[in-house]
Amino acid sequence: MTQAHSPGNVRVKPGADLNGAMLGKLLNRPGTLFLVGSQWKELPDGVLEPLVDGGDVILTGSANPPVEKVARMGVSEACHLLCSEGSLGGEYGQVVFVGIPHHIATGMLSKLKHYSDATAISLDRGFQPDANLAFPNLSREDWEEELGEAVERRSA
Amino acid sequence: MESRNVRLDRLEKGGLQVEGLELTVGDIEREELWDEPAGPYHLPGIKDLRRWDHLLLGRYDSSYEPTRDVCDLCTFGPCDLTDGKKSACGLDISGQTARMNLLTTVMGAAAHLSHAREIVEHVIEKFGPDVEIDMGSKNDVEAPMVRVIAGTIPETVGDLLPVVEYCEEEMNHLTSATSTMQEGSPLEFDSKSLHAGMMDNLALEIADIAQISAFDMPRGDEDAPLAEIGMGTMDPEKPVVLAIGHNVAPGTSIIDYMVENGLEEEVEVGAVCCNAHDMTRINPHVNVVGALSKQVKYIRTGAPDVVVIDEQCIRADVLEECRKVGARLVACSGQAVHELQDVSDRDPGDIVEMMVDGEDGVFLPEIEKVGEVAIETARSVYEDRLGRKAIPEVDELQGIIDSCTECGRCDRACPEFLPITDAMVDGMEENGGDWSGLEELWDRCVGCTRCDEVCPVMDPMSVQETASEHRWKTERNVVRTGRGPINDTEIRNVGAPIVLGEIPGVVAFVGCDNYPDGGRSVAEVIRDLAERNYIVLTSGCSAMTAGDHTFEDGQTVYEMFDGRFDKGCVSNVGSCVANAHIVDAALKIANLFANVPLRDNFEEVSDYVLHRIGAVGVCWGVYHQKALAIANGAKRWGIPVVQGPHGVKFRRQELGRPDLDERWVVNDANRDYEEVQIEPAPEHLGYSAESIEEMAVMAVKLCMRPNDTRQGRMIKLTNYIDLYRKYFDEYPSDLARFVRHEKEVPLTEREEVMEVLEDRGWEPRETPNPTMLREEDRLI
Repeated sequence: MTQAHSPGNVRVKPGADLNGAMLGKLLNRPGTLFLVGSQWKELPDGVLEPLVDGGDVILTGSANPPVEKVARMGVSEACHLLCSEGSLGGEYGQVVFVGIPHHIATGMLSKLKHYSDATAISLDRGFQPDANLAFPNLSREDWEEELGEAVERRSA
Repeated sequence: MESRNVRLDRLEKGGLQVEGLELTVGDIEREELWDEPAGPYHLPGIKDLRRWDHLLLGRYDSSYEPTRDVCDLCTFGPCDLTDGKKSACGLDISGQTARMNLLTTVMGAAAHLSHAREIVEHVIEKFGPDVEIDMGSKNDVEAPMVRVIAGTIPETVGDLLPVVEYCEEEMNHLTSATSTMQEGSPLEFDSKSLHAGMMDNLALEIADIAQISAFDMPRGDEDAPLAEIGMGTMDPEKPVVLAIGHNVAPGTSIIDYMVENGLEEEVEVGAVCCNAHDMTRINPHVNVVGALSKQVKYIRTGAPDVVVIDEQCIRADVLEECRKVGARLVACSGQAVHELQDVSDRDPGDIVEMMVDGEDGVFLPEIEKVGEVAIETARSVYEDRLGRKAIPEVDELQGIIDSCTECGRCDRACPEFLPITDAMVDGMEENGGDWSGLEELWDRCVGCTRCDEVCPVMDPMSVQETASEHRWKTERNVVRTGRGPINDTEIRNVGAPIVLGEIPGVVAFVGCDNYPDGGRSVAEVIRDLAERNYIVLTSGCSAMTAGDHTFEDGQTVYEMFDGRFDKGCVSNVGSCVANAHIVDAALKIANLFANVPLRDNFEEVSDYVLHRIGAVGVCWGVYHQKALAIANGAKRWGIPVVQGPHGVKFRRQELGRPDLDERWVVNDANRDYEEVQIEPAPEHLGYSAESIEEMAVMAVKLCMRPNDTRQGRMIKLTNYIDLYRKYFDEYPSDLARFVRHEKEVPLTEREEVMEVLEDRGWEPRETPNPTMLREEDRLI
C-alpha cells in the first residue's frame, strides 16, 4: 500500500492511485480548477500549459508560469473560498493541485476533503492520502513519464 | 505584596441586596500611586473575554485543516469524523480540530508557564522575594501585560507569584475544557485557544522580567553586544560544555563557576537554542552554537564533553546521541529526566568522579552544583574524548555514499522533502563523486534525523555532515545578544510614526527553524524589510538564523543595521520568553503614545493594537507547540501572524474574507460611533504562506491598518506594490481595496495605478477613527 509522507491521516475511504492515462481523461472534465503553486518549475518543461489547458487557473504562492490565470491568491485563501458557499464553493467540481509544496498541500487537501464536495486531485510526486486521487510515491523519471502520458491522452 | 480584587455580581442575604460590588484588598499604597483608571477585566477568566474573541472570530473565519480523520482520545473511539459524521461524544470534525488546536496551544503555554514558575522560584530561592523588578532607567512601564491582565504594578519578583498562580488556574480550566464531553462548539474552543495564548504571553513576560531583574541581563540595550554564532565558534581541543534548552538557571551556574575560577580561556562553554540567547545576555563570551537544528549535528561532531539539559526543545534521544560520542549528560529539570540517577544529595566532587568513572549521565536539579559538575567533568574527560565522533571519516565517506540503494525513503521521511537521494546519486563515484549537493543539503537540513531512521544502509544526516565538514568547522558569524524590553523612550520616538503609518510597520521574526528550504531566505527578507525602513525584531531560533548568514560584504544583518527599535533597524529581543517584549511594545505604544489605560483594560488595548499598530509576527519555521501558543496570544492582542507552510499542521488559520464587505464594518469614534466601512486591514489574523516570497508580501500587506494616514498608507502601499511586483511581476489585484484616496497611490505610479483602479470601479473613502467596541466599552 502506498505510504503517506505525513502518516497521521488515515484514508478512511481508500481511493485509487492516479496514473497518467486516468489523469488525461479526468482533466477533460468541465468545471476543473487548477491551483498552480510556487513549485511549478519542478514539472518537466512544456507539460504545464497542455495540462491546464481548458481549465481555470489560480496561481498561488509566488508561482508565475506562462499560463492564463483567473486569479492570484494564497492556496490557503483559495481553499477557504472553495469551502465557502457563495464564493468559489460549488463553482468547481474538480480541483487539481499542481506544484503546491507538499506539506501545505496536505493541509489544504484535508480541508477540501472535509468541507467541500469537489473532487481533489494531486499531481504531487509524493502520495497525498487526503486527495481523492494522487500518484503513489514516484521516482522523478516515473512521475515525468506519467505526466507526459496524461498530456498525450489529453491531446489524443 | 499581593493585591486581590473581589467582585460580587449579585448578593442577597437577609434584607441586604448588593449588585456589582468590587473590593480591592491589600497594596493600597501602590494602587494609589497608579492613578490610571481601571477597565472591566481584572484577572479575566476563561469566559470573560469571549465577547472580544467572538468579535475577532466574527471577522476572521477559523479555517480548519484537520490532520486526522479520527478522534481516539477516549475509549468510545476511535471515531470516524469524515463525511460530516459526529463522534460517539457528539463532536464533529470542526469541533475536534478546534479542540486539538486548543490542546496544542495548552501544551505550548504550559511549557512557558512551567518555565516562568521555575525561574521565579529559583530567583526567590537564590536572592529572596524582594528582588526589585528593574527594567532599567528608560522603562517605567515595566510589565505591560501584567498591568493589563492582572491590573497591578509588580515591584518585586515575589509580586509575580500571584500572577503565575492565576495563569496556572486558568490553564487548569483550559485543559479541563479539552476533556471528552465538555465544550462542544468550535468557536468556543477557538476562544479558549486565544485565552491559552494570552496565558502563554503573560508567562513569557513574567519569566523574562524575573530573569532580567535577577541576572542583570540587558535592560533595553539599544546597542547590545554581538556574540559569536556557529558550529565553528568553540575550540574542540579544549574541554567543551554544551547547554541545551530554555531555562537559563543551570547556565548561570556554569557561567558563574567558569568566571569565579578564571577558566574562560581554558574551557569552552556554548549553547543551542534559547539557552544560548539567555546565556549570552549574561555573558556575551558564551558561544552560540546555533538554533535547534544544530542540536544533534553538533553532538555528533564529538566536540561536547558534557551536555547540560534543562527544559524544552531537547531531543528525546539526547542521551543516546551523547552515548555515541561519550559525552556525559547532566539533566537539571524534572521535565526531562531521561531515567538518570538523582544525585542531588551528593557532593559535586563525587558526581564528577562518578562521571569520569563512566556514568553516562546524572539528574542534578540542584542548580548551584551544575556549574562545578559540568565544567570539572569536562576538564577531566576531554583528553579521552578527542577524536571521537559519530559521523563518518572523510576517507570512508565515498564508500558509504556508493552503498546508497536509491530507494528514496530518506526523501519521503524528510519533513522538508529535501532531495537527499538525488544528492547521494550525484555524490557516487561512478557519477563523478560530486558532494556539493550533500553540502547544500546540510545547510537546509533541520536536523531531525528522520532520514537516519528509515535508511537501510547509513545515517544520511551524518553523511551530509562529513561532506560539509570544512563548512561547519569554520562556521563563525555574529548574532546580536538579546536586548530585552523595548524602551519607553524608543516608543515615544516612534509611536506616532507607527500609528500614523509613516513607519511602514513592525515585523517580528520569531520562533523555530523548521524552515521548508533553509534559513538563508529568512535573513534575506529581514535585510529587505530593514532596507525598506520597517522596524525588524527577531527572537529565538529565528534571531540565530538571521545571524547565521552573511551577505556580499561578509556582514550579517546585525552588523548591517542598528539594534534600536527604530525604522531600518534590526533588533534581537532575546530568547523565546523575550517574545513578550514584542507584544509589550505594541501595548506600550497604546499606553504611552495614545494614553490608552492598561490597567484591567484588555479589550480596549487590543482593539487599539488591531486597528492602529501595523505590527506583524512571522514564524516561518514554526515547529513547536510553543510557537502556536505565542502566535495565538499575539492574535488575541490584535497582532496578525504569518506562518510557514508547516503552520497548517496546527490545524487552523484565521482568514479574513475581503470579498464580504459586511465583515469590515467598524464604529467610527469620531462620528458618534456610527458604523462605517473600512478596507480589509489587517486582512488575516493567522495565515500560512507556501513560499518565502508570499510570506514577505503578506507580512507587508498585513502591516496596513484602517487608521493609517494618507501619507502612511502611501508608504505602506509603495512597499506592498513594490514587493508584489518584485515577486509576482504584476500589480496587486486587490490594490483597489486599500487605496482610500488618490493621494495614497505612490507618486511615481499614480497615473498608471489610478487608471487600473478606475477600470475596476474604485471610489474614494474617508479615514475613520476605527473601533469594534461601543463608546461605553472604552475608557478614552
